[in-house]
Amino acid sequence: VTEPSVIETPPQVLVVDDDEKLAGVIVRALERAGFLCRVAASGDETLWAVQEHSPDALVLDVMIPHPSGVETCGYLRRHGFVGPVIVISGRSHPDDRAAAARAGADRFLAKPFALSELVDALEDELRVRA
Amino acid sequence: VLPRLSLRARLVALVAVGAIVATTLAALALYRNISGEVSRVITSELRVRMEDLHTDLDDPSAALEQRPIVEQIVDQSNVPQYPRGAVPILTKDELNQAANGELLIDRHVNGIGDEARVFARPIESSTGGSLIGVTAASTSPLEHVRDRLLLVLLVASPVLTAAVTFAAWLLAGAALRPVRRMARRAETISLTNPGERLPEPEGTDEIAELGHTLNAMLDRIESTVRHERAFVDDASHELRAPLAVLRGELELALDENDLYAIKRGVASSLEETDRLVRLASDLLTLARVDAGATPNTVATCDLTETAREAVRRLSISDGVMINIEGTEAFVPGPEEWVEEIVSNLVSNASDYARSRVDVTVSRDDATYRLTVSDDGPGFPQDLLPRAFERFARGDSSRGRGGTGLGLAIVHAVAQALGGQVDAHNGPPLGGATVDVTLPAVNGTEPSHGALIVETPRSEV
Repeated sequence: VTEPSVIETPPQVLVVDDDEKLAGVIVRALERAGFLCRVAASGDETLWAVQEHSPDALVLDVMIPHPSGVETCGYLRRHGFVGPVIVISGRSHPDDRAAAARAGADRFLAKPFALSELVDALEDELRVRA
Repeated sequence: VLPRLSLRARLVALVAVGAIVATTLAALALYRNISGEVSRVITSELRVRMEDLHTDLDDPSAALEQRPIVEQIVDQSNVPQYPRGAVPILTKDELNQAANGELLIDRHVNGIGDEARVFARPIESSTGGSLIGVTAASTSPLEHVRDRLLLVLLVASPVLTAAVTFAAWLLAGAALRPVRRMARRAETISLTNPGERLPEPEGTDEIAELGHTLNAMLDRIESTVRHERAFVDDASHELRAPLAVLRGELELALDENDLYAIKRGVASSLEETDRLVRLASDLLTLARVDAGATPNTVATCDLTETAREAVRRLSISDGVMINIEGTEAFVPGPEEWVEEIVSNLVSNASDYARSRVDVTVSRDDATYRLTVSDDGPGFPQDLLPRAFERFARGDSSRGRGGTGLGLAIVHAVAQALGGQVDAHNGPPLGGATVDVTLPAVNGTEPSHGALIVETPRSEV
Protein backbone atom coordinates (compact mmCIF):
# COMPACT_ATOMS: atom_id res chain seq x y z
CA VAL A 1 0.00 0.00 0.00
CA THR A 2 1.59 3.29 -1.04
CA GLU A 3 0.64 6.46 0.71
CA PRO A 4 -0.63 9.25 -1.44
CA SER A 5 2.34 11.36 -2.43
CA VAL A 6 2.65 14.56 -0.46
CA ILE A 7 4.70 17.48 -1.65
CA GLU A 8 7.37 17.83 1.01
CA THR A 9 10.25 20.25 1.25
CA PRO A 10 13.48 18.30 1.06
CA PRO A 11 15.33 17.87 4.37
CA GLN A 12 17.79 20.63 5.13
CA VAL A 13 21.32 19.65 6.23
CA LEU A 14 23.96 21.92 7.76
CA VAL A 15 27.44 20.73 6.69
CA VAL A 16 30.15 21.89 9.09
CA ASP A 17 33.80 21.55 8.04
CA ASP A 18 36.58 24.14 7.91
CA ASP A 19 38.05 22.31 4.91
CA GLU A 20 36.16 24.12 2.14
CA LYS A 21 36.87 21.44 -0.44
CA LEU A 22 35.61 18.59 1.70
CA ALA A 23 32.52 20.62 2.63
CA GLY A 24 31.96 21.22 -1.10
CA VAL A 25 32.24 17.53 -1.95
CA ILE A 26 29.82 16.58 0.83
CA VAL A 27 27.35 19.25 -0.28
CA ARG A 28 27.41 18.01 -3.88
CA ALA A 29 26.81 14.42 -2.76
CA LEU A 30 23.96 15.40 -0.43
CA GLU A 31 22.31 17.65 -3.04
CA ARG A 32 22.51 14.85 -5.55
CA ALA A 33 20.68 12.68 -2.98
CA GLY A 34 17.96 15.29 -2.66
CA PHE A 35 18.97 17.24 0.45
CA LEU A 36 19.17 21.00 0.77
CA CYS A 37 22.51 22.11 2.21
CA ARG A 38 24.13 25.01 4.01
CA VAL A 39 27.77 25.19 5.03
CA ALA A 40 29.43 26.43 8.23
CA ALA A 41 33.16 26.49 8.97
CA SER A 42 33.36 26.91 12.75
CA GLY A 43 31.51 26.10 15.96
CA ASP A 44 30.30 29.67 16.32
CA GLU A 45 28.95 29.76 12.75
CA THR A 46 27.20 26.45 13.39
CA LEU A 47 25.41 27.70 16.50
CA TRP A 48 24.31 30.79 14.64
CA ALA A 49 23.18 28.83 11.55
CA VAL A 50 21.17 26.33 13.61
CA GLN A 51 19.35 29.14 15.36
CA GLU A 52 18.79 31.03 12.12
CA HIS A 53 17.84 28.23 9.72
CA SER A 54 16.75 25.31 11.98
CA PRO A 55 18.26 22.57 9.81
CA ASP A 56 16.84 19.05 10.00
CA ALA A 57 20.25 17.40 10.37
CA LEU A 58 23.94 18.16 10.91
CA VAL A 59 27.10 16.77 9.36
CA LEU A 60 29.72 17.93 11.85
CA ASP A 61 33.50 17.75 11.64
CA VAL A 62 35.24 17.31 15.02
CA MET A 63 38.27 19.48 14.33
CA ILE A 64 36.76 22.85 13.57
CA PRO A 65 37.69 26.25 15.02
CA HIS A 66 36.11 27.22 18.30
CA PRO A 67 34.11 25.58 19.74
CA SER A 68 35.09 22.08 18.62
CA GLY A 69 32.63 19.77 16.88
CA VAL A 70 32.04 17.72 20.02
CA GLU A 71 31.45 20.82 22.14
CA THR A 72 29.12 22.26 19.52
CA CYS A 73 27.14 19.00 19.40
CA GLY A 74 26.87 18.90 23.20
CA TYR A 75 25.69 22.52 23.32
CA LEU A 76 23.05 21.97 20.62
CA ARG A 77 21.72 18.85 22.34
CA ARG A 78 21.44 20.67 25.66
CA HIS A 79 19.55 23.44 23.90
CA GLY A 80 16.94 21.27 22.31
CA PHE A 81 18.31 20.26 18.91
CA VAL A 82 16.84 16.81 18.25
CA GLY A 83 17.73 16.20 14.59
CA PRO A 84 20.35 13.67 13.47
CA VAL A 85 23.99 14.66 14.04
CA ILE A 86 26.57 12.74 12.00
CA VAL A 87 30.05 13.45 13.31
CA ILE A 88 32.97 13.11 10.86
CA SER A 89 36.56 13.06 12.03
CA GLY A 90 40.12 12.69 10.80
CA ARG A 91 40.90 10.81 13.98
CA SER A 92 39.24 7.55 14.91
CA HIS A 93 40.37 6.94 18.48
CA PRO A 94 37.84 4.97 20.53
CA ASP A 95 38.09 7.99 22.89
CA ASP A 96 36.86 10.32 20.14
CA ARG A 97 33.98 8.04 19.26
CA ALA A 98 33.00 7.82 22.92
CA ALA A 99 33.25 11.61 23.36
CA ALA A 100 31.07 12.16 20.30
CA ALA A 101 28.49 9.65 21.55
CA ARG A 102 28.46 11.30 24.99
CA ALA A 103 27.89 14.68 23.36
CA GLY A 104 24.78 13.24 21.68
CA ALA A 105 26.04 12.42 18.16
CA ASP A 106 24.09 9.70 16.35
CA ARG A 107 26.85 8.40 14.06
CA PHE A 108 30.61 8.68 13.85
CA LEU A 109 32.30 8.44 10.44
CA ALA A 110 36.10 8.37 10.19
CA LYS A 111 37.61 10.18 7.21
CA PRO A 112 38.00 9.12 4.48
CA PHE A 113 34.43 7.78 4.37
CA ALA A 114 32.26 6.81 1.42
CA LEU A 115 29.82 9.58 0.51
CA SER A 116 27.17 6.92 -0.02
CA GLU A 117 27.72 5.83 3.58
CA LEU A 118 27.11 9.39 4.77
CA VAL A 119 23.95 9.70 2.68
CA ASP A 120 22.67 6.35 3.95
CA ALA A 121 23.39 7.32 7.54
CA LEU A 122 21.50 10.59 7.19
CA GLU A 123 18.51 8.94 5.50
CA ASP A 124 18.41 6.21 8.16
CA GLU A 125 18.50 8.67 11.03
CA LEU A 126 15.83 10.89 9.44
CA ARG A 127 13.60 7.87 8.77
CA VAL A 128 13.92 6.72 12.39
CA ARG A 129 12.75 10.14 13.56
CA ALA A 130 9.93 10.44 11.01
CA VAL B 1 75.48 -15.41 46.78
CA LEU B 2 75.22 -11.89 48.22
CA PRO B 3 73.95 -10.10 45.09
CA ARG B 4 70.99 -12.50 44.95
CA LEU B 5 69.81 -11.44 48.40
CA SER B 6 67.63 -8.42 48.95
CA LEU B 7 69.31 -5.14 49.81
CA ARG B 8 67.83 -5.42 53.31
CA ALA B 9 69.32 -8.90 53.82
CA ARG B 10 72.68 -7.73 52.50
CA LEU B 11 72.73 -4.71 54.81
CA VAL B 12 71.82 -6.87 57.79
CA ALA B 13 74.44 -9.49 56.89
CA LEU B 14 77.02 -6.73 56.66
CA VAL B 15 76.00 -5.34 60.06
CA ALA B 16 76.07 -8.85 61.60
CA VAL B 17 79.56 -9.56 60.30
CA GLY B 18 80.68 -6.15 61.52
CA ALA B 19 79.15 -6.74 64.95
CA ILE B 20 80.81 -10.17 65.26
CA VAL B 21 84.21 -8.76 64.32
CA ALA B 22 83.81 -5.73 66.60
CA THR B 23 82.63 -7.66 69.67
CA THR B 24 85.31 -10.33 69.18
CA LEU B 25 88.04 -7.71 68.95
CA ALA B 26 86.63 -5.84 71.94
CA ALA B 27 86.36 -9.08 73.98
CA LEU B 28 89.93 -10.09 73.10
CA ALA B 29 91.27 -6.67 74.08
CA LEU B 30 89.30 -6.70 77.33
CA TYR B 31 90.44 -10.23 78.15
CA ARG B 32 94.09 -9.45 77.51
CA ASN B 33 93.93 -6.20 79.38
CA ILE B 34 92.24 -7.50 82.52
CA SER B 35 94.13 -10.79 82.76
CA GLY B 36 97.41 -8.90 82.22
CA GLU B 37 96.48 -6.49 84.97
CA VAL B 38 95.66 -9.29 87.44
CA SER B 39 98.90 -11.08 86.51
CA ARG B 40 100.87 -7.87 87.14
CA VAL B 41 99.23 -7.49 90.55
CA ILE B 42 100.35 -11.02 91.52
CA THR B 43 103.93 -10.42 90.32
CA SER B 44 104.23 -7.10 92.12
CA GLU B 45 102.94 -8.77 95.30
CA LEU B 46 105.75 -11.35 94.94
CA ARG B 47 108.29 -8.52 94.46
CA VAL B 48 107.08 -6.68 97.56
CA ARG B 49 107.45 -9.91 99.55
CA MET B 50 110.94 -10.31 98.20
CA GLU B 51 111.87 -6.83 99.53
CA ASP B 52 110.86 -7.91 103.01
CA LEU B 53 112.40 -11.37 102.78
CA HIS B 54 115.95 -10.72 104.11
CA THR B 55 114.55 -9.32 107.35
CA ASP B 56 112.71 -12.61 107.88
CA LEU B 57 116.03 -14.44 107.99
CA ASP B 58 117.13 -12.41 111.04
CA ASP B 59 113.77 -12.49 112.70
CA PRO B 60 112.27 -15.97 112.41
CA SER B 61 109.34 -14.85 114.47
CA ALA B 62 108.27 -12.70 111.61
CA ALA B 63 107.86 -15.74 109.45
CA LEU B 64 104.71 -15.56 107.45
CA GLU B 65 102.80 -18.69 106.94
CA GLN B 66 100.02 -16.91 105.22
CA ARG B 67 99.13 -18.99 102.30
CA PRO B 68 98.92 -18.95 99.48
CA ILE B 69 102.27 -17.12 99.54
CA VAL B 70 105.33 -19.27 100.19
CA GLU B 71 108.76 -17.77 100.97
CA GLN B 72 112.16 -19.36 101.05
CA ILE B 73 115.82 -18.26 101.24
CA VAL B 74 118.35 -20.71 99.89
CA ASP B 75 122.14 -20.62 99.64
CA GLN B 76 124.26 -21.26 96.54
CA SER B 77 123.74 -25.02 96.85
CA ASN B 78 119.93 -24.69 97.05
CA VAL B 79 119.90 -25.49 100.77
CA PRO B 80 117.07 -23.60 102.37
CA GLN B 81 118.41 -21.20 105.07
CA TYR B 82 114.88 -20.06 105.86
CA PRO B 83 112.83 -21.81 106.86
CA ARG B 84 115.52 -24.24 107.72
CA GLY B 85 114.98 -27.85 106.79
CA ALA B 86 112.35 -27.06 104.17
CA VAL B 87 112.24 -28.79 100.79
CA PRO B 88 113.83 -26.40 98.20
CA ILE B 89 111.32 -24.90 95.81
CA LEU B 90 113.79 -24.20 93.01
CA THR B 91 115.32 -26.81 90.75
CA LYS B 92 119.04 -26.74 89.96
CA ASP B 93 118.48 -24.97 86.61
CA GLU B 94 116.14 -22.44 88.15
CA LEU B 95 118.68 -21.74 90.91
CA ASN B 96 121.35 -20.95 88.28
CA GLN B 97 118.96 -18.70 86.40
CA ALA B 98 117.97 -16.90 89.62
CA ALA B 99 121.64 -16.48 90.65
CA ASN B 100 122.34 -14.71 87.35
CA GLY B 101 119.50 -12.28 87.65
CA GLU B 102 115.79 -12.91 88.09
CA LEU B 103 113.49 -15.87 87.66
CA LEU B 104 109.74 -15.53 87.13
CA ILE B 105 107.94 -18.73 86.22
CA ASP B 106 104.42 -20.19 86.46
CA ARG B 107 104.46 -23.82 87.56
CA HIS B 108 103.35 -26.32 90.20
CA VAL B 109 104.60 -25.50 93.70
CA ASN B 110 104.28 -27.90 96.59
CA GLY B 111 102.05 -26.41 99.23
CA ILE B 112 100.26 -24.11 96.76
CA GLY B 113 99.19 -26.34 93.93
CA ASP B 114 99.31 -26.44 90.12
CA GLU B 115 98.44 -22.79 89.64
CA ALA B 116 101.43 -20.99 91.14
CA ARG B 117 104.01 -18.37 90.22
CA VAL B 118 107.58 -18.51 91.43
CA PHE B 119 109.81 -15.44 91.75
CA ALA B 120 113.50 -15.75 92.70
CA ARG B 121 116.53 -13.41 92.77
CA PRO B 122 119.73 -12.93 94.73
CA ILE B 123 119.27 -11.05 98.00
CA GLU B 124 121.69 -9.42 100.34
CA SER B 125 122.10 -11.02 103.72
CA SER B 126 123.37 -9.39 106.89
CA THR B 127 126.12 -12.07 107.05
CA GLY B 128 127.42 -11.06 103.66
CA GLY B 129 126.93 -14.53 102.11
CA SER B 130 125.33 -14.87 98.71
CA LEU B 131 121.75 -16.02 99.10
CA ILE B 132 118.76 -16.46 96.79
CA GLY B 133 115.30 -15.32 97.84
CA VAL B 134 112.32 -17.29 96.56
CA THR B 135 108.70 -16.25 96.78
CA ALA B 136 105.79 -18.17 95.31
CA ALA B 137 102.11 -17.37 95.21
CA SER B 138 98.96 -18.93 93.91
CA THR B 139 97.75 -17.68 90.53
CA SER B 140 94.32 -19.19 90.99
CA PRO B 141 92.68 -15.74 91.39
CA LEU B 142 94.06 -14.91 87.95
CA GLU B 143 92.68 -18.11 86.44
CA HIS B 144 89.42 -17.45 88.20
CA VAL B 145 89.19 -13.95 86.74
CA ARG B 146 90.11 -15.30 83.29
CA ASP B 147 87.44 -18.00 83.42
CA ARG B 148 84.78 -15.62 84.56
CA LEU B 149 85.76 -13.08 81.94
CA LEU B 150 85.75 -15.69 79.19
CA LEU B 151 82.30 -16.87 80.28
CA VAL B 152 80.90 -13.37 80.33
CA LEU B 153 82.38 -12.53 76.95
CA LEU B 154 81.22 -15.78 75.33
CA VAL B 155 77.69 -15.11 76.43
CA ALA B 156 77.70 -11.35 75.91
CA SER B 157 79.18 -11.27 72.40
CA PRO B 158 76.50 -13.38 70.67
CA VAL B 159 73.72 -11.61 72.55
CA LEU B 160 75.14 -8.23 71.56
CA THR B 161 75.60 -9.35 67.97
CA ALA B 162 72.07 -10.69 67.82
CA ALA B 163 70.67 -7.46 69.26
CA VAL B 164 72.60 -5.29 66.81
CA THR B 165 71.56 -7.51 63.87
CA PHE B 166 67.92 -7.39 64.86
CA ALA B 167 68.06 -3.60 65.21
CA ALA B 168 69.71 -3.41 61.79
CA TRP B 169 66.94 -5.60 60.31
CA LEU B 170 64.26 -3.30 61.69
CA LEU B 171 66.09 -0.12 60.64
CA ALA B 172 66.83 -1.38 57.13
CA GLY B 173 63.20 -2.42 56.76
CA ALA B 174 61.98 1.00 57.83
CA ALA B 175 64.49 2.81 55.63
CA LEU B 176 63.64 0.73 52.55
CA ARG B 177 59.86 0.77 52.98
CA PRO B 178 59.43 3.89 50.78
CA VAL B 179 61.51 2.18 48.10
CA ARG B 180 59.20 -0.84 48.20
CA ARG B 181 56.18 1.45 47.99
CA MET B 182 57.71 3.23 44.99
CA ALA B 183 58.48 -0.10 43.30
CA ARG B 184 54.90 -1.30 43.81
CA ARG B 185 53.48 1.90 42.32
CA ALA B 186 56.00 1.86 39.47
CA GLU B 187 54.69 -1.57 38.45
CA THR B 188 51.26 -0.07 37.81
CA ILE B 189 52.43 2.93 35.76
CA SER B 190 52.10 2.49 32.01
CA LEU B 191 51.14 4.46 28.94
CA THR B 192 47.46 3.98 29.76
CA ASN B 193 47.86 6.05 32.95
CA PRO B 194 50.82 8.32 32.22
CA GLY B 195 49.64 10.80 34.86
CA GLU B 196 50.38 8.40 37.76
CA ARG B 197 53.36 9.32 39.97
CA LEU B 198 55.52 7.49 42.53
CA PRO B 199 54.85 8.20 46.20
CA GLU B 200 57.55 10.64 47.33
CA PRO B 201 58.75 10.08 50.91
CA GLU B 202 58.83 13.22 53.04
CA GLY B 203 62.13 14.87 53.90
CA THR B 204 65.24 15.48 51.87
CA ASP B 205 67.13 12.19 52.19
CA GLU B 206 68.49 10.14 49.30
CA ILE B 207 65.29 8.11 48.89
CA ALA B 208 63.14 11.24 48.80
CA GLU B 209 65.55 12.64 46.22
CA LEU B 210 65.29 9.43 44.20
CA GLY B 211 61.50 9.63 44.25
CA HIS B 212 61.61 13.27 43.23
CA THR B 213 64.06 12.59 40.40
CA LEU B 214 62.05 9.62 39.10
CA ASN B 215 58.84 11.66 39.17
CA ALA B 216 60.54 14.47 37.27
CA MET B 217 61.59 11.86 34.70
CA LEU B 218 57.98 10.61 34.48
CA ASP B 219 56.87 14.23 33.92
CA ARG B 220 59.25 14.50 30.98
CA ILE B 221 58.17 11.14 29.55
CA GLU B 222 54.50 12.07 29.91
CA SER B 223 55.05 15.36 28.14
CA THR B 224 56.89 13.59 25.31
CA VAL B 225 54.12 11.01 25.03
CA ARG B 226 51.51 13.77 24.91
CA HIS B 227 53.44 15.59 22.22
CA GLU B 228 53.82 12.38 20.22
CA ARG B 229 50.11 11.62 20.53
CA ALA B 230 49.17 15.14 19.52
CA PHE B 231 51.51 14.84 16.54
CA VAL B 232 50.03 11.51 15.47
CA ASP B 233 46.50 12.90 15.89
CA ASP B 234 47.36 15.97 13.83
CA ALA B 235 49.16 13.94 11.18
CA SER B 236 46.17 11.61 11.02
CA HIS B 237 43.80 14.54 10.57
CA GLU B 238 46.00 16.23 7.97
CA LEU B 239 46.35 13.01 5.97
CA ARG B 240 42.73 11.95 6.18
CA ALA B 241 41.24 15.29 5.16
CA PRO B 242 42.71 15.32 1.61
CA LEU B 243 42.03 11.59 1.36
CA ALA B 244 38.40 12.23 2.20
CA VAL B 245 38.18 14.91 -0.52
CA LEU B 246 39.98 12.66 -3.00
CA ARG B 247 37.68 9.75 -2.25
CA GLY B 248 34.60 11.96 -2.42
CA GLU B 249 35.60 13.54 -5.75
CA LEU B 250 36.21 10.13 -7.30
CA GLU B 251 32.91 8.79 -5.96
CA LEU B 252 31.05 11.79 -7.39
CA ALA B 253 32.86 11.59 -10.73
CA LEU B 254 31.91 7.94 -11.07
CA ASP B 255 28.21 8.84 -11.02
CA GLU B 256 28.67 11.89 -13.22
CA ASN B 257 27.75 12.00 -16.89
CA ASP B 258 28.72 15.56 -17.63
CA LEU B 259 32.27 15.58 -19.01
CA TYR B 260 32.96 19.07 -17.69
CA ALA B 261 31.93 18.08 -14.17
CA ILE B 262 34.10 14.95 -14.38
CA LYS B 263 37.09 17.06 -15.46
CA ARG B 264 36.50 19.46 -12.60
CA GLY B 265 36.46 16.51 -10.21
CA VAL B 266 39.69 15.14 -11.64
CA ALA B 267 41.35 18.56 -11.33
CA SER B 268 40.24 18.80 -7.72
CA SER B 269 41.52 15.26 -7.07
CA LEU B 270 44.85 16.28 -8.56
CA GLU B 271 45.07 19.24 -6.17
CA GLU B 272 44.37 16.97 -3.20
CA THR B 273 46.97 14.52 -4.46
CA ASP B 274 49.51 17.36 -4.56
CA ARG B 275 48.53 18.30 -1.00
CA LEU B 276 49.11 14.69 0.07
CA VAL B 277 52.44 14.56 -1.74
CA ARG B 278 53.62 17.77 -0.03
CA LEU B 279 52.50 16.45 3.33
CA ALA B 280 54.20 13.08 2.81
CA SER B 281 57.37 14.83 1.71
CA ASP B 282 57.36 17.15 4.75
CA LEU B 283 56.67 14.26 7.11
CA LEU B 284 59.55 12.31 5.55
CA THR B 285 61.88 15.30 5.89
CA LEU B 286 60.95 15.62 9.56
CA ALA B 287 61.43 11.90 10.11
CA ARG B 288 64.86 12.08 8.45
CA VAL B 289 65.93 15.08 10.53
CA ASP B 290 64.61 13.41 13.70
CA ALA B 291 66.43 10.17 12.89
CA GLY B 292 69.71 11.92 12.14
CA ALA B 293 69.41 14.49 14.93
CA THR B 294 73.19 14.74 15.04
CA PRO B 295 74.11 14.73 11.37
CA ASN B 296 76.84 12.21 10.76
CA THR B 297 78.64 14.52 8.41
CA VAL B 298 81.56 16.88 8.15
CA ALA B 299 79.91 18.90 5.41
CA THR B 300 79.78 22.67 5.59
CA CYS B 301 78.13 25.13 3.25
CA ASP B 302 77.89 28.83 2.53
CA LEU B 303 74.64 30.05 4.03
CA THR B 304 74.36 33.07 1.71
CA GLU B 305 75.08 31.12 -1.47
CA THR B 306 72.71 28.34 -0.43
CA ALA B 307 70.01 30.93 0.25
CA ARG B 308 70.51 32.46 -3.25
CA GLU B 309 70.32 29.01 -4.80
CA ALA B 310 67.19 28.05 -2.83
CA VAL B 311 65.40 31.26 -3.76
CA ARG B 312 66.27 30.79 -7.44
CA ARG B 313 64.54 27.39 -7.36
CA LEU B 314 61.38 28.56 -5.60
CA SER B 315 58.32 29.61 -7.51
CA ILE B 316 57.55 32.91 -5.87
CA SER B 317 54.10 34.48 -5.76
CA ASP B 318 53.56 37.21 -8.31
CA GLY B 319 54.35 40.75 -7.26
CA VAL B 320 56.68 39.79 -4.43
CA MET B 321 60.32 40.84 -4.58
CA ILE B 322 62.98 38.86 -2.72
CA ASN B 323 66.16 40.71 -1.63
CA ILE B 324 69.13 38.68 -0.51
CA GLU B 325 72.03 40.32 1.35
CA GLY B 326 75.08 38.82 2.96
CA THR B 327 78.68 37.76 2.49
CA GLU B 328 80.30 34.36 2.60
CA ALA B 329 79.09 32.57 5.76
CA PHE B 330 80.13 28.99 6.32
CA VAL B 331 77.94 26.95 8.64
CA PRO B 332 78.00 23.25 9.53
CA GLY B 333 75.63 20.93 7.78
CA PRO B 334 74.89 19.58 4.35
CA GLU B 335 73.54 21.98 1.75
CA GLU B 336 70.24 20.05 1.46
CA TRP B 337 69.45 20.75 5.08
CA VAL B 338 70.36 24.41 5.00
CA GLU B 339 68.35 24.76 1.80
CA GLU B 340 65.42 23.15 3.60
CA ILE B 341 65.58 26.00 6.14
CA VAL B 342 65.80 28.77 3.56
CA SER B 343 63.19 27.46 1.15
CA ASN B 344 60.62 26.84 3.88
CA LEU B 345 61.12 30.31 5.36
CA VAL B 346 61.13 32.15 2.05
CA SER B 347 58.12 30.36 0.58
CA ASN B 348 56.23 30.97 3.83
CA ALA B 349 57.18 34.66 3.83
CA SER B 350 56.34 35.16 0.14
CA ASP B 351 52.91 33.55 0.65
CA TYR B 352 52.03 36.25 3.18
CA ALA B 353 54.12 39.21 1.93
CA ARG B 354 52.40 42.13 0.23
CA SER B 355 55.35 43.02 -1.97
CA ARG B 356 58.68 42.30 -0.34
CA VAL B 357 60.71 39.63 1.43
CA ASP B 358 64.20 40.38 2.82
CA VAL B 359 66.73 37.60 3.37
CA THR B 360 69.88 38.73 5.21
CA VAL B 361 72.87 36.83 6.53
CA SER B 362 74.85 38.58 9.28
CA ARG B 363 77.56 37.59 11.74
CA ASP B 364 77.20 37.72 15.58
CA ASP B 365 80.37 36.57 17.34
CA ALA B 366 80.58 32.83 16.75
CA THR B 367 77.32 32.48 14.87
CA TYR B 368 75.69 33.47 11.61
CA ARG B 369 72.16 34.79 11.66
CA LEU B 370 69.78 34.20 8.78
CA THR B 371 66.87 36.62 8.93
CA VAL B 372 63.82 36.22 6.71
CA SER B 373 61.26 39.00 7.05
CA ASP B 374 58.22 40.10 5.08
CA ASP B 375 55.82 43.05 4.89
CA GLY B 376 52.73 40.90 5.35
CA PRO B 377 50.30 40.81 8.29
CA GLY B 378 52.74 38.97 10.60
CA PHE B 379 52.03 35.93 12.76
CA PRO B 380 48.65 35.85 14.52
CA GLN B 381 49.38 36.66 18.19
CA ASP B 382 48.04 33.32 19.45
CA LEU B 383 50.24 31.41 17.01
CA LEU B 384 53.48 33.24 17.82
CA PRO B 385 54.43 31.24 20.96
CA ARG B 386 53.90 27.92 19.18
CA ALA B 387 54.85 28.90 15.65
CA PHE B 388 57.51 26.17 15.43
CA GLU B 389 55.28 23.34 16.69
CA ARG B 390 54.27 20.67 14.24
CA PHE B 391 50.89 21.37 12.60
CA ALA B 392 50.61 24.65 14.51
CA ARG B 393 48.64 26.90 12.16
CA GLY B 394 46.73 30.07 12.55
CA ASP B 395 43.12 29.64 11.48
CA SER B 396 43.75 32.14 8.69
CA SER B 397 46.47 29.97 7.18
CA ARG B 398 44.19 26.99 6.67
CA GLY B 399 43.46 26.40 3.06
CA ARG B 400 46.54 28.32 1.94
CA GLY B 401 48.09 25.09 0.77
CA GLY B 402 50.67 24.85 3.55
CA THR B 403 51.11 21.61 5.44
CA GLY B 404 51.63 23.25 8.84
CA LEU B 405 55.06 21.63 8.97
CA GLY B 406 57.28 24.24 7.30
CA LEU B 407 58.41 26.09 10.42
CA ALA B 408 58.60 22.80 12.34
CA ILE B 409 61.06 21.56 9.72
CA VAL B 410 63.08 24.81 10.03
CA HIS B 411 63.17 24.35 13.80
CA ALA B 412 64.14 20.65 13.65
CA VAL B 413 66.89 21.20 11.06
CA ALA B 414 68.32 24.25 12.89
CA GLN B 415 68.41 22.30 16.15
CA ALA B 416 70.07 19.33 14.48
CA LEU B 417 72.77 21.68 13.17
CA GLY B 418 73.31 23.18 16.64
CA GLY B 419 71.38 26.35 15.93
CA GLN B 420 68.34 28.20 17.24
CA VAL B 421 65.20 29.81 15.82
CA ASP B 422 63.11 32.77 16.86
CA ALA B 423 59.93 34.28 15.41
CA HIS B 424 58.51 37.75 15.96
CA ASN B 425 56.46 40.46 14.29
CA GLY B 426 57.42 44.01 13.41
CA PRO B 427 60.79 45.31 12.21
CA PRO B 428 62.46 45.35 9.79
CA LEU B 429 59.54 45.21 7.29
CA GLY B 430 56.59 45.29 9.69
CA GLY B 431 55.40 41.76 8.99
CA ALA B 432 56.67 38.40 10.22
CA THR B 433 60.39 37.88 10.91
CA VAL B 434 62.14 34.58 11.57
CA ASP B 435 65.77 34.48 12.79
CA VAL B 436 67.80 31.30 12.44
CA THR B 437 71.14 31.29 14.26
CA LEU B 438 73.70 28.71 13.15
CA PRO B 439 77.23 28.20 14.50
CA ALA B 440 79.92 29.75 12.30
CA VAL B 441 82.58 27.49 10.84
CA ASN B 442 85.90 29.35 10.57
CA GLY B 443 88.41 28.91 7.76
CA THR B 444 86.72 25.84 6.41
CA GLU B 445 86.48 25.34 2.69
CA PRO B 446 83.10 24.27 1.47
CA SER B 447 83.02 20.51 1.25
CA HIS B 448 80.27 18.40 -0.14
CA GLY B 449 80.45 15.48 2.22
CA ALA B 450 77.58 13.11 1.88
CA LEU B 451 74.87 13.30 4.48
CA ILE B 452 74.44 9.99 6.20
CA VAL B 453 71.05 9.70 7.77
CA GLU B 454 70.28 6.57 9.67
CA THR B 455 66.64 5.70 9.33
CA PRO B 456 65.59 3.05 11.84
CA ARG B 457 62.55 2.06 9.87
CA SER B 458 62.87 0.90 6.29
CA GLU B 459 60.20 3.22 4.99
CA VAL B 460 58.34 5.93 6.78
